[in-house]
Amino acid sequence: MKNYDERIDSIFRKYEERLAEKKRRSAIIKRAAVSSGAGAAVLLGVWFVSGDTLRNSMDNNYPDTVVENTETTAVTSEAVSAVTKDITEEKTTTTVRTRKTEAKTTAVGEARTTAAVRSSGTKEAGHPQQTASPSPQRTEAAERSTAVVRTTATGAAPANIPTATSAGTATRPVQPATSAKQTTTAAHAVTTARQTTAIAHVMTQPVTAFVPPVTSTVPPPNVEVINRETDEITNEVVREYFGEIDLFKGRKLSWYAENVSESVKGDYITDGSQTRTPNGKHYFTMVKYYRYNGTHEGMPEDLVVVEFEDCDGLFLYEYTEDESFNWDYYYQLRMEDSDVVYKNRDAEVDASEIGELIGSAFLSYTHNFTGKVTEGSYDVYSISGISPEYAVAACDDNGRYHFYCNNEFRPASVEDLFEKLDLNDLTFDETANFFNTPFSQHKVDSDRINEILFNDPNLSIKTKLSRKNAYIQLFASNGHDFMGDIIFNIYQNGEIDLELNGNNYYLRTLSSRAEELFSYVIEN
Amino acid sequence: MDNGASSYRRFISGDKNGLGDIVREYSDGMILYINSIVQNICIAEEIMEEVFVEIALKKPKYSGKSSFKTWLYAIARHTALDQLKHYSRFSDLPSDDMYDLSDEQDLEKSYIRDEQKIQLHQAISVLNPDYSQVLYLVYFEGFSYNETAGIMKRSEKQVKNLVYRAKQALKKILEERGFEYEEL
Repeated sequence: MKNYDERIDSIFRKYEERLAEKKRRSAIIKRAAVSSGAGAAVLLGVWFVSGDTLRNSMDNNYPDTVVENTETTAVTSEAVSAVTKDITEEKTTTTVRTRKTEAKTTAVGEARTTAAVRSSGTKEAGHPQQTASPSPQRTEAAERSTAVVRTTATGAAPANIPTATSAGTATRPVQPATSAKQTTTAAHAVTTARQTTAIAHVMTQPVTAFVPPVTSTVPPPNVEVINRETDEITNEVVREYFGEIDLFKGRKLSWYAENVSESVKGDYITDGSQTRTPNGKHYFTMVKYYRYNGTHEGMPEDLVVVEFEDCDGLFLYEYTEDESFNWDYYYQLRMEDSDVVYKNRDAEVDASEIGELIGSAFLSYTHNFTGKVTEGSYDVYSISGISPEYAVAACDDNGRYHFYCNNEFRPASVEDLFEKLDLNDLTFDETANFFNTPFSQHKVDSDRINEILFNDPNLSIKTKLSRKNAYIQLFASNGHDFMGDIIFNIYQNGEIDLELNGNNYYLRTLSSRAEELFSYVIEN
Repeated sequence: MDNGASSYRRFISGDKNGLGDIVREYSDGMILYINSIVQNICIAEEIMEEVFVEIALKKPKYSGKSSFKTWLYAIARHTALDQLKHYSRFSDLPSDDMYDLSDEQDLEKSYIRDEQKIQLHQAISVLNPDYSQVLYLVYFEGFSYNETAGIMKRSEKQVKNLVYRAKQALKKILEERGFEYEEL
């Protein structure tokens, strides 16, 4: 540990070093700017003064070149082979050195080799200069290479790979043994490059494997259909007031009651068939919910009851005349597979409960409803269970959380996210793909539905963030009928529900498939 | 010794001693605060220097809306988080071999002085960084909840909640260690 004087010395030493470095960089930039400017001026001057002369001179020299080419047509095929060998070796070396699979570069090398072989084999074009001047072949090769890669990406990779091999084989008859070996190596490199490119290309192709049934009410295969009682309470009502309920359908749940009177417990919660785990929690699967018109003394008259598998019933909330909740009948639900707790209005969600602090960024956004632009420095948190690729939470100076979900902003990794955030220009405007919601978990009207706009005017997706930061709903629409037929619920753990024409299809979808779903929605 | 704000004004106007005075006044506490974030006294000391180098280079404006110390600690926190990102990105976090416990103990003795408080500080250091930070700022640096909220970029309400939970966690640790303590 340094003493004060040592600290001060160290600080000023670093300060001087940084200052000197800053000045040095500044000087380099200035010098580069001046020199490039001066160089450009000199070139411009030379061109201006002697441009005509130079051009005339070149024009006059050109016929001489043609004559020389004509004279060299008598060069023997061995000479052509030697030249070809040199070129091949050179390109082979280049190809092997640059094994970073720049397919285009490799393809050029291959094209040169092939062109040279063709010319030496057929003896139709025996001009060494022509062979050594690869620009037409390069263009052709690039085009061919592109075509090959494209074909490979669509699934014909094996068929194309031998093309490279045959190029190497064709080279051998006119190459010395060592050269043939090198050419084979080059061909192998080409093959490898093609394979790598093909794989990379396939990976970047839009995922089309996942196609949710958008026009049929028949459950898609491999999904679990959840029975939902909708006669007494509509999905609309539930979604409006109890959106978070959707979180639990089809899930194993543990619950415990708080502030629930004994009479309620006695009347409405049976434990005869409950599954009791070693830690004393009870796990149920919610199967349906409905409005209960209770008449028991001391009971609210209007309740929403949730039924669980193997459990007679468990009421949730009371409706009151002003459409608020009576939280006396509140209880907590804890999901089995996460630590997320949906708390009552007295609870406070802390940043540590949102997720992990992953950085800070200067953000600005336009609120879709008010048009208000807010910008500032935010701490950015990941959201538990949601990849930062899809959404992050940002905490402003007032301690409010804003949630960002951006289908275009898709960093490849958290590190990539850091890089992007470090740019300090992560700006969302009204045309960007985002939504944000000032986080206020305790008010029903805090839900915000923001529209995601796309370049395609016929496509519009509206997002809804659950008031308890539980899930994101995407309402896919054809641009006309919002609240249309398709609703995706994307949960914190990356799972997704699909609601189709009022029916629920519970897709046990992992986050990797969420991306497919996003792709599907965006592209369709 | 004048207060930090006037020292900073002197530094801005060209007197390098102004920054030296600030270093003497605040660097110890700042190291302990940064240590609560990065959990490594050597890195904390480096980051402290980095804070002052950045201040010397950029000469940020101190508007006086908060106390100078609050302003300074907010910069320190920001720098520490930036450095943490840097370390995590390049995986060049110094190994435990570099961690010198005696440095931390020396600093605690010279800065905190009171033996009981030192023991408390050592218990705090094993809490998670948020708890450690908030307790250090409130109980060792004497910042108000409002000032702590400013430094940690939280709301005052959040800071209160955080302090509450931190104290619960601390209580548990102290009990495990067999300390007798008074209510914080």
